[in-house]
Amino acid sequence: MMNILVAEDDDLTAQMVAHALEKFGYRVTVARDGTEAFKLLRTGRYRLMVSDWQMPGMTGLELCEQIRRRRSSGYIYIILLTGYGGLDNLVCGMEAGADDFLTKPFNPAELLMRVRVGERVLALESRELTIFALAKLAESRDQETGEHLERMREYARILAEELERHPDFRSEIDGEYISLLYMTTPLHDIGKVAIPDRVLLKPGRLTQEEFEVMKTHTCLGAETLESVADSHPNASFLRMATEIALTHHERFDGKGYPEGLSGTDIPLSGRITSVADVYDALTSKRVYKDAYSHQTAREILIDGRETQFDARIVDAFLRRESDFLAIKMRHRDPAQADATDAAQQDNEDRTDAVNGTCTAATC
Amino acid sequence: MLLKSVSEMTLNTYARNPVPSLHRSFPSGDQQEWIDLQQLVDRCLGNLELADRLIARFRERVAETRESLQQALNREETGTIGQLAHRLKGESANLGSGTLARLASELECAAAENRTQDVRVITEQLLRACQQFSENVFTFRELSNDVPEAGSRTGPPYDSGRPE
Repeated sequence: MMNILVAEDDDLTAQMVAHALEKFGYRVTVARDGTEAFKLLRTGRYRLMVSDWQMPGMTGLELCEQIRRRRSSGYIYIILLTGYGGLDNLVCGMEAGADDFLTKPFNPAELLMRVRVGERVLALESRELTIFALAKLAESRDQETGEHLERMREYARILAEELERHPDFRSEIDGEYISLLYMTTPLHDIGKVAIPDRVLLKPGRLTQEEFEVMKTHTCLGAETLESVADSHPNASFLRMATEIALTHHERFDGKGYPEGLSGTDIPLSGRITSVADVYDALTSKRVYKDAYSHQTAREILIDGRETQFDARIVDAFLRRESDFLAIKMRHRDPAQADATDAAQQDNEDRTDAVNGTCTAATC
Repeated sequence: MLLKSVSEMTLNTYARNPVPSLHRSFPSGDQQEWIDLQQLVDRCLGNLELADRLIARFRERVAETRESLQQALNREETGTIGQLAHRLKGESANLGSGTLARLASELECAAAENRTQDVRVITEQLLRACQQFSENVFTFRELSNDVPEAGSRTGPPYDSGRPE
């Protein structure tokens, strides 16, 4: 049950609004002025507030401005309920930081709809933050660097945008798909939270046994996400996250893991994430290798066209190379040295990347 | 899901249909000129006990505002008159008192534009209206001694979520 704060000095209106919201299933607290409301908001219990405009002490507008200045950890959705009508006042309220506007006399049905809009907005924020926080948690155990997830989802988004123009993908990729992919790609390695440190953090090449352990991160991540998805059947992002976690190490020729899927049996989201992940792994510095140049990574992706990767996705990468470079520069890790020339790279590492053998950080 | 069903049920029951028990205790005559009870009870989602409490409190508020307005008029404090009018406008609108809300709105505009002559005239009209309101508006209980039925509830009407 959501907590809603009603900031209203007029106790008649406060009682009516509070009663309606309670009838609709919310828990309601009434603050008698802006100062009391601000104090209550600082408890962190309220993410949605219905506020009067004209109040003693701190007005509704001043309250909005204070809330926005404070930059609390979670967004607070503000509905101004006021006797001031008119476009000028609406603009003034929105500029102060209000999200929505209701004029007196209020209508309970309209109030409910506005509150529901607020809930939807807050849910979106919570969803994205939760996903990214989970992904960061997984990443924090790994040797991968802070910007990896940001780059990954940007690469995936660019590939999906490019593929949207391809006749083969038009029926599958649309704006919603791209948005979901952007949101869920960071969860691709979530299963790594269950991999023991001796394997996950090993700096060199993994033994066959260790590699087998490492490979389980795909299934472990997918199982976790799937169990959540089962209890939230409408959460399509969890379905896509499960697909990605499970299949981002599959290869187009069927030689990948965990299931050895091939071709279009591998979900598109997994195929896209695979290209984004490998490109980022190659162009990022690791404890056991320097960052490859873009040119080297490009050659490796081309080498893997139709074997490791879906050729159409590699072609999409080639058409959007400049965007990849821009993202790589924009989200460069602070400690990352400039990419070294391909000629200086260890041939063995390069072979690993193409053939799908594994060090801890490329699995 | 639960929230949705509760909300829809509530809306279907109260907001989209007339409140059944209201017809029995609906006062007629002068009262109706001053307060739209159907609108008020709809806004209270059928809770007659709440509606009754609000009418009683509003009557007190109107009397208080009347006194404050009179004082502000005597002192020619246009700003105070504007603030009082603004507040009365919101309260009246929510309570379903169209006459008071309209006059208060006119007064608020006149005060905001500093039209002193209009402020005096409209304030006097509003003072008379407030007086008539107090004389003509009664709670359901006062009118019929009926105990409110539909949607009635006990306990405080708000603060279900205040931290302890």
